[in-house]
Amino acid sequence: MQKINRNSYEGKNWLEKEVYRQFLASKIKFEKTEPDPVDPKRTNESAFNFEDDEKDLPTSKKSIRLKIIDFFSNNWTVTIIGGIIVVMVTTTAFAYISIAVQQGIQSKEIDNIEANYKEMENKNSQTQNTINTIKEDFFVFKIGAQKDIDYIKKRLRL
Amino acid sequence: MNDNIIGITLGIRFSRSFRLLDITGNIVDNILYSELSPFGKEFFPKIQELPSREKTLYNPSTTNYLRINSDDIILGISINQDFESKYDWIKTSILKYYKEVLFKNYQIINIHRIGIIFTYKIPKSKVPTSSIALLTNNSIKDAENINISFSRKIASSTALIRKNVQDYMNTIYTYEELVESMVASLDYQYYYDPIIEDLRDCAPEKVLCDAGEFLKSNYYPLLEKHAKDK
Repeated sequence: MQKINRNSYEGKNWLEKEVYRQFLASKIKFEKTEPDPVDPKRTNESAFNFEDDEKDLPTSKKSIRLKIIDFFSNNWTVTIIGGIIVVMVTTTAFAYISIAVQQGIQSKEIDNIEANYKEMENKNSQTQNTINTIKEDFFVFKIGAQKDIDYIKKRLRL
Repeated sequence: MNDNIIGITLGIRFSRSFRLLDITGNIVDNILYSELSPFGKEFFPKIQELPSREKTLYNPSTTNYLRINSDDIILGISINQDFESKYDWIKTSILKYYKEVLFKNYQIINIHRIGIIFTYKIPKSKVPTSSIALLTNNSIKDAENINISFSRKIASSTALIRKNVQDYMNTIYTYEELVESMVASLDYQYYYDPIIEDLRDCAPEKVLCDAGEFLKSNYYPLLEKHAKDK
């Protein structure tokens, strides 16, 4: 049986519209919704007329929305177990991702602390060098000053 | 005009199914005894099976009936000054039961059309007799038991837009002369082309709403004109 998608959003072209208009204007044999009235007393109904069997008509298949709804309603056991499995897998995946992200953040923080420590060590070393330089300068200054004081004392004695 | 209506008939035509004839007993059980059924055994106290294996559930006092055969499920509801409430009941409860239980559980598939007949009892007029006289060139001026039917196709808005859809509406007008009055009926049919596998995809509620609108805007003026011409 030919399957046709009724829900396609593709529009009719002018030729197809014309064919449809001509179909509407054509004469067809009408068939009433209820061809013969109901008769509760009727008992002489004939059997089927097999000659009147219908042709192979194009059919629009069931919509995807209904297929999904029917699948879940017909397979509710599978749905519940599947749902639990999906929830568990999703939770595990999220937990794994969350732990990995947290680990990454913490590693980064440790790296930062290490870098800060090294920087502080460098600064400390620089400060120590500066202090040593000042000490040396002060020592030179002290020797120079002592010489000056000794010279002034000698001059005063003369 | 709502006061003159005497009956509503809802018929759904699907692809012929011989399997259905083998399970009509199950279907009847569901209609009569299921909690989901809007009918029940008080609604249809009698059942008839024809040699064609068509089953008819009916109520002799109300004349309500439900026919199930290999091609159609036809529901006839008599109206007694309660058209709006009965029509709402059909649109909500019955269509819901059809969609969610009857057609779904018993795999009644491939819907060809949904038809709704509004039947009116109207006063007798001379119009049909004069129409026959006109048709027969005045050779028959006193025709009796006149029964006239004609139809008119209407474009479906969906079919005008969508490439793969050729749906249409067919309206059948019938006038039947009784002894003291006339029966006028409007048969509003929505044909699906291509046919639709599942009734839930057919939007049957919309078909019934459109039929109700058509009745008020197109058919009532005819009946009102008939009442003036009697």
